[in-house]
Amino acid sequence: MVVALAAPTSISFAQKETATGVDVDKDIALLRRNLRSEKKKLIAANLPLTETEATKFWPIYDQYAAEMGKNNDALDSLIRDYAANQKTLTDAQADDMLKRWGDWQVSLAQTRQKYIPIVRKVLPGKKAALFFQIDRRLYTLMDVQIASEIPLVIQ
Amino acid sequence: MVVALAAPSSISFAQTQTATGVEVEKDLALVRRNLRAEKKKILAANVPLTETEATKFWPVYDQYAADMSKHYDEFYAVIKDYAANQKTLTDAQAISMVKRWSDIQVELAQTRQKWVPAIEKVIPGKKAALFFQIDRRLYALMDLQVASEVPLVIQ
Repeated sequence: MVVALAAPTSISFAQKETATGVDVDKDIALLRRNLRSEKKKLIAANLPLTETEATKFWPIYDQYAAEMGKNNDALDSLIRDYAANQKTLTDAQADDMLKRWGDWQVSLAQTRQKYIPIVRKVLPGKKAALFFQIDRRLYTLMDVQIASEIPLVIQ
Repeated sequence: MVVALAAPSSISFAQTQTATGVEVEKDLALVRRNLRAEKKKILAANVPLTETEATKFWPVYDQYAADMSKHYDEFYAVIKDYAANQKTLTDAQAISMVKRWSDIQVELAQTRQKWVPAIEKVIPGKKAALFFQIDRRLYALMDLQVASEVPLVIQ
């Protein structure tokens, strides 16, 4: 049943140096486009659904993915701001970014929490659980990838 | 400055089969003990602190780590329950575990958010940002390790 749950292959931040930091705008856009389509393919390949279940599930999945995507817009904007100002970052800017990052994480977790009963309405409990398990595994891979690519704060 | 931000090397789930699932208790205990000690060492090696900062920072860090640990205790309890009952899991049990897991994710994010101002009280903004950046990277690696080791829900 499980086809491929390795990390999507096409993730990378090809960072262009600027006077104050690095420009990652295009790379983030590309990363997100690739991840979104690969994620849906991996979930489809690993979650066995009947035709009736699939008809109900995928529209809900698209709503969920769009909502998670909105949360991730906030992260994109944060990474862009950070990368662009990395060399000249002040303590106050770092503080502001930490707060935005903390808010983003809470909001992302709350969105996932909100969708559990919604997905459960259209799938049996074990299939809903498998979906969230695979989805979480893919988000975790993305988290690691992003966390590893972002340059550390210069002291 | 950055010494070692690879995944701690000693993580593994050597799962013992039972009639209803797998027994992971001893493995989880070992994983957690190793990770906790390694995490603190990696942070100490990568966050440059003056003596005065270190004196104030480490007690606050220990409180933060203890707070996060409480959530991980619950998280590992969910994994243990799931692993032990994996072969006989019902739809109701599966969705209940997903809900518990999701609640923990929200609590973890809220706890991390709560500790940002506390850490910023004892070290400057840029050092606090570096701390949370490395801390988050290590948690992401641990999450990925755990997510990859937990068997998928059998349908």
